[in-house]
Amino acid sequence: MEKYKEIVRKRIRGVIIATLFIVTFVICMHFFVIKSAEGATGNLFSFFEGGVIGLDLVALVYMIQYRKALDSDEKLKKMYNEEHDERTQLIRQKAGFPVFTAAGIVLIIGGVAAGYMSSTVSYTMAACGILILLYQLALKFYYSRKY
Amino acid sequence: MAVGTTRQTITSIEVGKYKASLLLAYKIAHYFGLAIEEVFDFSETEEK
Repeated sequence: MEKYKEIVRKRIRGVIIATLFIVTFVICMHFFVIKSAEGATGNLFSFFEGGVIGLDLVALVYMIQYRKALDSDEKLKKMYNEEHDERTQLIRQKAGFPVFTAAGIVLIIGGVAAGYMSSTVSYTMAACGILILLYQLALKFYYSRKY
Repeated sequence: MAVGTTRQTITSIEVGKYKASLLLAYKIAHYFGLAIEEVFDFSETEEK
């Protein structure tokens, strides 16, 4: 369990670094890109800014969970069991993890990059990415009911 | 959980929705101090 505790500590450090990076990114984006962008491009960047802030909030929720787990051995064991549970792993595998998740995230990041060239391409890529992630969520729900 | 799995997995095994792996079956049987065939009933298991 000590090894797992160290892994959780590393995750917390990772979340803190990612949060700092995201906050810096959002501030730079807000003051240097969105303010100078006009019309559709401005809306596009605002959309991605909202998405990034949302992801950051999710990461913070995970960090709070990890902090609580580190304080209690019982919670840590429960979290360890949930992560290493064979049924959960089967459900995740059936739902296409990690291929679908990676594809969805890559499409959304690609959508951000494409925003500099074409807003239509950018919206399409972002919509595809979100659809893939939603599809994966639906599969996960279906298989968790089945098994 | 003493056998390193979640409550939901145990429930799924009990109601027959999920088939436990050999390792998990062994862990459950070991927890109760019984043999695998004393805990799990294979008589109605169909071979595919």
